[in-house]
Amino acid sequence: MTNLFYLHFIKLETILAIFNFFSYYRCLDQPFNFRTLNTKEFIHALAEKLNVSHKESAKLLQQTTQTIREVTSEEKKITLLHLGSFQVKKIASRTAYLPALKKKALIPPRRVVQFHPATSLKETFKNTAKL
Amino acid sequence: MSESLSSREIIERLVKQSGMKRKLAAGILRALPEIIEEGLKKDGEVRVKGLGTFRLRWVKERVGRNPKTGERVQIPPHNRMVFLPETSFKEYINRDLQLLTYEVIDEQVETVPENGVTPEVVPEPVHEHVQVPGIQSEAKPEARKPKRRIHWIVPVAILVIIILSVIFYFRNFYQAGDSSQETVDSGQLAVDSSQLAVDSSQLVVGSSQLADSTQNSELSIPNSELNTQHSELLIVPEGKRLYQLARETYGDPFLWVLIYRANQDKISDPDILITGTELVIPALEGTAVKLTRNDSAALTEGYRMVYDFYMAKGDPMADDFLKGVERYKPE
Repeated sequence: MTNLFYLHFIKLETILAIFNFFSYYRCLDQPFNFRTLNTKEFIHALAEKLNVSHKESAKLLQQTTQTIREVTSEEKKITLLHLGSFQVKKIASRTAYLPALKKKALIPPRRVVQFHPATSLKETFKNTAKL
Repeated sequence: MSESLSSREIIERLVKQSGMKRKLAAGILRALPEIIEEGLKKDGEVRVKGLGTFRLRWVKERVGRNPKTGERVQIPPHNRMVFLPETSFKEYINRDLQLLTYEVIDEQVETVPENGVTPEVVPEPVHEHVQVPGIQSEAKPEARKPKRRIHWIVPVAILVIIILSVIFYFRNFYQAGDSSQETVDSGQLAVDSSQLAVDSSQLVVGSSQLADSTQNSELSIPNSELNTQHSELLIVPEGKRLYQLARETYGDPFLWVLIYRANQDKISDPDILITGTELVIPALEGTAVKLTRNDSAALTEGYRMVYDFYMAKGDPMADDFLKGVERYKPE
């Protein structure tokens, strides 16, 4: 019981600092849940796998993404092994209600990118725990 | 979607267009899914620059149906892979459609004809020209607006009426105050002019009798005499009565008796005023609010004269003027 009374003297900030410290440690081994894999890390991983420099891997990534963009904009379907398919879908012009103007409006046609993951990828993530 | 490219064709394209080595191109396409899978297992989100983000989305447990048999199946909770394209990717795809904006349709065009004929198809407006949405938004339907306007106008109108009535009610008081000030000013002027008159009379009499002491004594003439000496001349305008003139000059309509008393030879009947007659308006000693003893004495005398007039006429209104006599009786 006497130990519990000590908690009054510990500030909340110190508790938070300790918590942050542990979370940081966790990050080093196994990064935190809400972190995204950013481009730097992506380039690093690619360079390791292909045994090329970081500069070159960045260039390669840029070129591949550019080709994927071009091909999709030509309205062609791309299927990449073990990753999935990119596809452009046309959405025709339609009438919709605009709540801001309280009027119906004709919305122009546009194109949308769709990605369908490969079955192998789907299956792997089906059984993983919630992140 | 007529054509579909496999990864092999893309490798060839990479080699041809960007001069990449075949080995490297094949390696990238092999490495991409691996990196994405690793990243998703680690963080649940992978961002590929130029394409977008791959993300895992948690789907809760739900009851689904087998589309073939129609059985109910309990679908366990699972992760689903989602791709969110970058804005640059979206813009790149829609680069020829970017200038198009929405076009507001008027409801009148859409109305179904009453004859029971099948409704006409709304003609599709051509999308080649850019339309500014601001112009369209101004042309709003005016069917609903008038109702709202009425709601606004009613309380505002009531308020305005109240304010105007209040202003008109208090306006008389303000007028009274102003006119009393004017009378005071005129009284001061009267004093000045009387001094001048005194000087001129002294000049006429002769400079031999002038002395400082006499001047002082002359200056200290009682105010009542000065006031009786000073009096304004006023030509009666059209449609005015005695009490209106009194309100304009003194600020108190009950002091009309003073005017009547001063002009008894010109006014035969206080009910009748002939336009164009010159009236002498005697100045007050004090103000309309605070009367002096001489003023009240003059007033009582005037009221008594009016009472006598009406008694001679045989009018029962005469008793009202007796009240005036009692009211203005000097203390």
